[in-house]
Amino acid sequence: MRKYKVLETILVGLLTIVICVGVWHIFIFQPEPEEEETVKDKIFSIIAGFDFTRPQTFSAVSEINELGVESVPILQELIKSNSLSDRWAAIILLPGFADHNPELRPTIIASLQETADDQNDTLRMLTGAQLLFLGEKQGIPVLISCLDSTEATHFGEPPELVKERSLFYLRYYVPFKGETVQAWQEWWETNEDRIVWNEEKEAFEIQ
Amino acid sequence: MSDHFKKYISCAIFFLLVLAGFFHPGFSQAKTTVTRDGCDITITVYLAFAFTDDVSWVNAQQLVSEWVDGMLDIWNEPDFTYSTGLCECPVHFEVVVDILPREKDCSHAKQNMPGWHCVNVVNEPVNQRGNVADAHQTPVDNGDGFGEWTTMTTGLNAAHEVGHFMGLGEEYHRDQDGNWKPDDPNKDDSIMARTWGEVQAYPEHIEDIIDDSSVDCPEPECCCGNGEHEGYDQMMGEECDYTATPSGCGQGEVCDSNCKCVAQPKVTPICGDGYITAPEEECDPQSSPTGCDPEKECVGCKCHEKGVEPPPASSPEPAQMIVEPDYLTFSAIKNEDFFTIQNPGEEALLFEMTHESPPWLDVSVMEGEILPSQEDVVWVTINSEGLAPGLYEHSIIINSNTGIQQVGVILTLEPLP
Repeated sequence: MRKYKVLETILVGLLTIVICVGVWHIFIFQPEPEEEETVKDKIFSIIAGFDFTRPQTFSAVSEINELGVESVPILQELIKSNSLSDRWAAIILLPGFADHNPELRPTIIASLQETADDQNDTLRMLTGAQLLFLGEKQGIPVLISCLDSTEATHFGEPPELVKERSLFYLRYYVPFKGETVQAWQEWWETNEDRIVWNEEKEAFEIQ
Repeated sequence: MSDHFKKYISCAIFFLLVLAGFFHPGFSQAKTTVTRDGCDITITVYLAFAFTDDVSWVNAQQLVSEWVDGMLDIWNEPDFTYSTGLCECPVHFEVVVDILPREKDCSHAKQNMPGWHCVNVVNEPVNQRGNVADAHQTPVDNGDGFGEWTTMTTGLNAAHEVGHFMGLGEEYHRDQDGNWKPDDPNKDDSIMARTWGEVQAYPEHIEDIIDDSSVDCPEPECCCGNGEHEGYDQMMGEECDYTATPSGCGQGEVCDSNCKCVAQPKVTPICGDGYITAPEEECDPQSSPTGCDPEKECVGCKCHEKGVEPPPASSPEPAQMIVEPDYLTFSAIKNEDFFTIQNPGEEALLFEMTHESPPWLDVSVMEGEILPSQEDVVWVTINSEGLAPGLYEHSIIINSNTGIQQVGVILTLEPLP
């Protein structure tokens, strides 16, 4: 009987040691909590995947949209970047946030002015079109400045000529069907003060 | 019942459900299909559009019409043929369009119209992926594709994107600075490479699309019209071939569209029509041979010694073709209309409608001759029985001795209330 008592004591002792060692291991070897990936990291990671030689990689820009309004300040920084892809992503996404968050409109429109005189024709054209989409008539002279471009679009599907796409945007939003740069410039100088945005038609009209 | 047996039954039911899924009508009826009727091959794209906001919805009919026109202009090229050997089958392109009910997007189509390609239309300069229009590359008979187009998508953009819905890939890339480069500089005018200027679909595109299907161009019955009438074609019973030069028929005969020689039709004697109509004409400068002796030449349909000044003769005005109107619209309640072909010229106008019409369309006259200052009325009848609601388009192509013209046919079938 005594023999069993000794065995029991040894067994309980061993079990206690095992439990202690186990608990000690949990504390000692617990992996350090990973740093949560910030919205900025996610945006930079998405943009890093863009590759001009594989145009379809740019479609991932829509994933930034899913990150919500927290991405707006970062995109407002990116629009000042030297990288074409950074500026493109900002121009594509910012107007959507302005459309859904009226309180952000003034600051986003101000950001879009950064690329209104961009050296890249495609980015300048997209800026003009996005300003018109937001009902801002400053987009008209921006698009007129793209009408003598000779380039094909640097971004987006399907490939088009910048000047043809710019003319299409102008004719879509503005009640004038001019063909040439000169015709459009003359029209703009004459009608700049009379043109107003019709919210219902989502287009400009002459007052 | 043993556990083993239960497992066996469960597996069998699962397998049957999977099979039923594969044979659901939606899987086999729609998407992009390639079918053959006789020797005519038709590529059909089933395309649903979802207009989800007010502005795009208001303009839906106009936009779809413009896009369909753009697709037909590029893909319904009358000269497209498909060959798997010696024969050539004419190829037609059709697009069947449906507009989803207001405020339904493509997720609705995915559930209720399986097998249809679906395009969400948004009223923005570019979509969320930064594209004016995009579409999944979807091989023929192999699933339904999805795309997102803006209201600012042009007809050429639509023609490019529908190429993806027929399984074709991009034929361009961009360099490190974003500059556009065609994959094949010799084919930089391919619709899959760009959407500006004069662009076209290439026979290789048609070949790629049909190669993906199980359709072939059977021999020998489809060899008529392949431009040859000797050797193999003759062995297969062709007397001639109307696209070959010479056609293979004897004097006084012409080759008909079945590759049989028939007596040349009697025509009104008009100098320059290619026929020598005695006794009024000694020869015809457009006929080969002209009908004059070798040392003589045919001037004013009379044979004259070469180098001798012929008597002055006023040359007749050539035939002209005026087709009015150039498009007809139909609906469930308007199923008949007509267009006229006028010839204000001074020579005969010979015309024929090329290619067969779709089953829902009937044209009263397929070929004919219109004398100077005369006109013909061509009736177009629509049979919309059995057609799903949607927009149907077809171009009636009129080939004549003065050129080609076409009449657009637009059939709009509204869904039942």
